[in-house]
Amino acid sequence: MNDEHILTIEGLTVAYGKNMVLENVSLHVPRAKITAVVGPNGAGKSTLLHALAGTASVESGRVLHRGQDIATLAPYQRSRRGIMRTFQMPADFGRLTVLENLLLADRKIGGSGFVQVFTRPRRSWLPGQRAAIERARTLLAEFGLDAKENDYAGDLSGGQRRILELLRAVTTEPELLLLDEPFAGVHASIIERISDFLVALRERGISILMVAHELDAVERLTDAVVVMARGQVLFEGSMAAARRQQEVVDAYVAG
Amino acid sequence: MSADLSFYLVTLLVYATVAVIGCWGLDVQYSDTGLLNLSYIVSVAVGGYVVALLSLGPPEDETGTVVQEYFWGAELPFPLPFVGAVLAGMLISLPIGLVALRRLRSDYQAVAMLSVALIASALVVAVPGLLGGGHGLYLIPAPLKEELGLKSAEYSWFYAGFAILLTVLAAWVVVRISRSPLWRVLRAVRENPEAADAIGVNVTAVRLAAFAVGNGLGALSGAVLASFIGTYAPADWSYQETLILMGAVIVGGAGNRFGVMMGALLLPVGLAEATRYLPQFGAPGTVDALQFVVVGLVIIGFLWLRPQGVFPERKRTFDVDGRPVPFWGKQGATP
Repeated sequence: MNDEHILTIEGLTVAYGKNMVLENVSLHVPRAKITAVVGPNGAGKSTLLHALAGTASVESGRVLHRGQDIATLAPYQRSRRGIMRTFQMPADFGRLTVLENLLLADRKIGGSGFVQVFTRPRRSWLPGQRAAIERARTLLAEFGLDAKENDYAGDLSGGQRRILELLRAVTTEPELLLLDEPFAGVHASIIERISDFLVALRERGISILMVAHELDAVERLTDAVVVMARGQVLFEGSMAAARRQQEVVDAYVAG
Repeated sequence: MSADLSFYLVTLLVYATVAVIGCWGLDVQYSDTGLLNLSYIVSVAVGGYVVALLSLGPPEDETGTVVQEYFWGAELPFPLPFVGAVLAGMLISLPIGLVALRRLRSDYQAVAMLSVALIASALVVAVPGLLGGGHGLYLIPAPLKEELGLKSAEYSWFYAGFAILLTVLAAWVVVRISRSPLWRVLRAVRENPEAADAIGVNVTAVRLAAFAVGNGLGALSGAVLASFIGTYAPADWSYQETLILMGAVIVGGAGNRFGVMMGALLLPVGLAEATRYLPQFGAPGTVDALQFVVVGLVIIGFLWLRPQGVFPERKRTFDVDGRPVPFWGKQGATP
């Protein structure tokens, strides 16, 4: 086990039919750092994220987390291990309220299984739920969404839904956040806020791997960068090292 | 009260409990969890047949003469036939659910479920030795009738009371679900199974459990009906019956327990009673067939004009101290 890396990816290959989308990808995801995955369209960035989250079928290779290969675990199992992803398109629970969206992700509330519900009294989960509501309201207030707690998530604007999804992901208390284009469709004024939030999460020791279309938007945040093209990793290293290899980055990020 | 009127009222009451319990089971599956279970009536049938098999005793009498055809039977004391019926309804969910619910796509589920319903009724009719074929089972003993020694009229009121008691029990089950954190989990699976999976919900397990609980209630409603009328046959559980129950859920208000109860009283019970008073016209069976036409039109009308039903699913809100706001309280400040 390596304390420096939260994930170690070895020879990961993902194919849809004959079409090889990820080819023998090996890389380390550093712990408590923000890592950006960049590259042109079709580079395999999103597929890499899907493979790590468990929603792409892995042909071969290993994904090591806490010394265990998780490449064949179901998405919910990875999520329970602390590997939490967000989606490229906001994936809220439309006809649940904003507050309920967050409560769902809070694993300290009991009463969410059939057996518990019919064998334990309501007071076994109500206090836990009250505490979770308190936490959720604090989190919503940070983003000015506290007045919206009783709105259906499906009625929020695109940017608000993206924030809600991020807050929901954080509510699960993850070790590693996998973010798929967290800034897509978000107003410039809110990008700043989300950026600050991500930095604060890193300070709390949460590792972040995010797919970004353009390096410019995330440059300020990132500690490490992975450049991908045509299903392969071209460069992996610190932001500073990436800048020294400007020609590599330019050639493939510009696309 | 005349005997006729008394019997009519009891019948109406028992039919109402059967419809309400049945619709609540479907409500847990369809409204809460988003399972389009077009084979729901099969779970009702399982309840009807199992309560019959567990109270009829073996198919042969003491002399070895076959009284009626079915594959197996036992004579268990009350209330075991009912318990067995509910358990059987839940157990049958496992094989059906494992086949139909593992995929995420709901159109796939719906087709698989409909096939199950068609296969089940074709099988029962084609193999008379199994469950009495098209004629079904008959002479199903009325529970506790001999033990109580009541006259028919008095007994029928006792049975109505028993049916109401079971409805209260079913109400406790469904309201318990909708007042617990579990309700959020079910609706999350309904709204977005991929996202539920991503936040750590074992979607297949949740679907199977909701499927089993719903089917258990379906089986209970079938058992109440079969024990009351004393016969049970494929005509009682044709696949269109699922449509009527589904219609009741949609009209009453999917996800609203009270609304679904009202829908159950209106469609399967109320409409059947209303058509009873229509003058018979046309070929025999025309009026019965019209019932399905009316139900179909009502469903389409509601899906078109008021898809949330008369009593829509209630928004769950919490007060400043984080306590759930009850249904009689004011909902949250924002609409």
